[in-house]
Amino acid sequence: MTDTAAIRPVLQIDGLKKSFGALNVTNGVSLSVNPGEIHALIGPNGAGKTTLIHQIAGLLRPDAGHILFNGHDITTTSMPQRARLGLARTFQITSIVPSLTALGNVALAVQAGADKPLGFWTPVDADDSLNSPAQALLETVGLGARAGVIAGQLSHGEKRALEIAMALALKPRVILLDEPMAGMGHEESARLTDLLKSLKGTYAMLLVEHDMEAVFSLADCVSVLVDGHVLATGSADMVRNDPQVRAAYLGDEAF
Amino acid sequence: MSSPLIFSTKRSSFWPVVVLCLGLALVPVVAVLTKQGHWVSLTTQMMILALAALSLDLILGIGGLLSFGHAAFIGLGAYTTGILIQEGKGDLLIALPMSLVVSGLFAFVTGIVALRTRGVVFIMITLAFGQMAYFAAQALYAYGGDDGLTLDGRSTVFGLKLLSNKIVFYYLTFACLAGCLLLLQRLSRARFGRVLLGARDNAVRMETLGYDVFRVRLMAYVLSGMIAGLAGFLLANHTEFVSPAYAAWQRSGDLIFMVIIGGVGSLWGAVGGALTYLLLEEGLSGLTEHWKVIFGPLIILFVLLTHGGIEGVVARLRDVMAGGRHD
Repeated sequence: MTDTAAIRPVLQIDGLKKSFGALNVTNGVSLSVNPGEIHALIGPNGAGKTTLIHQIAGLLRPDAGHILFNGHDITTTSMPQRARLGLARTFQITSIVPSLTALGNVALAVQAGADKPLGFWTPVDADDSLNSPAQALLETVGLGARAGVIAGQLSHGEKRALEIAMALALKPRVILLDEPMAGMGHEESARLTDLLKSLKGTYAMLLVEHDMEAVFSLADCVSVLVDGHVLATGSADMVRNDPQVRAAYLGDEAF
Repeated sequence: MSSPLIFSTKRSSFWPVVVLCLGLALVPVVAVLTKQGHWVSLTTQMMILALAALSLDLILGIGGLLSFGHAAFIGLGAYTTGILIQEGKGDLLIALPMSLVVSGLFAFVTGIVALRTRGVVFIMITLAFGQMAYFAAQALYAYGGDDGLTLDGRSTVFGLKLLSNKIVFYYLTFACLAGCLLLLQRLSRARFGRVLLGARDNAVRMETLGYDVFRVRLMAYVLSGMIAGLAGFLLANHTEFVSPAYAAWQRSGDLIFMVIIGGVGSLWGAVGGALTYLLLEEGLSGLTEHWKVIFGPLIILFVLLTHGGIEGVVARLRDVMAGGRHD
């Protein structure tokens, strides 16, 4: 968190608002993610974290406010376009292509950034220009030996890791991680924490997570979202000791 | 290291395709030798509908889009050809490209609307567009209206009456079917096919990877419509007759059944399914005039018992022969 003023954020959200009927799910959220940094977004259930991620990724259109990516306004840019600009995401509820193998899933993500993403004739199964980088990414996330398994048959933890490999395949500048540790056992989430730690510095990440142990060991910066607005932003320690935050969200057992 | 199997549902289709193609290629030879000339015409008709079923399997099986108006494309291809023949411009060099353009354009325009919807809405919209084509054909009073239109003859080829020969027409149809089967098999295994399949399983995921799912589906929809239009061109020439019934929703339903009987998404299965469906229909209608009473339950039983249609049965047979080993 040294000289943040000098670094231009790669992702900046400015006064974002979204309501469903009378319910203001996102109520003027502003935050920024710096290059190579992990910015964690925490908050109780129903605080509007996933809705915020959906807006940043382009699945939902905000009612007001701006999203700046690399200095460009992408508030109205389509979801595929955002992905091509370098904004990757994972989903809270695992989102993969279940009928393809693990390798096929990552190869599909590699293909999206290839010169000819829509070839009509050459069989894709044996395409090394897709499979080699895909295999390498599977090794990165620890799924190297599971490449040939149908993705739908992977364990929950493996599917979460697969999603991260797919996100990495896009060569993104920012990765939005929506509760990557959800439903994981202690050991699995410790492994994932290590993985994210190793990716830190290379990619900027906006991490939504309930696992406080993971958040506090990973995040450079933590924002607390309550009732659709940011209650506090700062280093892990600052947020941890903020009395407002303690009152609103964190139980004493988290410390 | 052998490359791992990427498509779980894609078993090698080499042998089924070879068997299907060889079998169809030999039909005229056997028919002539055994003096059963009507087989040639009957099989031609079956191959034409198999071509339409094959085109449907691209969007239904691989794209996951249940179009309930696919017969409209057959009707459009057939009417374009029929009208051109009646106007004296029925040469293959004009009628074939025009049939493809008209059916492709209809697919493009209706696809832009229909592909913005999903699920039941998509089914209903494609059905509505299909019925639009059906009623438009009925309203063509200058070309027979409700009764349909008997054509003066078949398309010429460079002015020559090549297609009047049953055997020549048979092999033209065969070449179209085999060619499209090969094309779609390749397509479904190429990058385009994987994206289409990925969008069937998880469209939002494909968009977050950067794919324009709408555009990919529209491309598949237009290609599918054009192949069905090709079937329409062949059908008009084969029967020397066009009728609104070609575009009726019942025919669209038949095509869906053919694909399901064959095994959704296997492509060659759609061809096998169409042939099975039409052979059954032919055989049963020869037995009794109440053949539909037998046909309906038989189809339902077949679908219930085979789990995955003809393709599923063949896959299991291969597993058994390979000693229970998968793939």
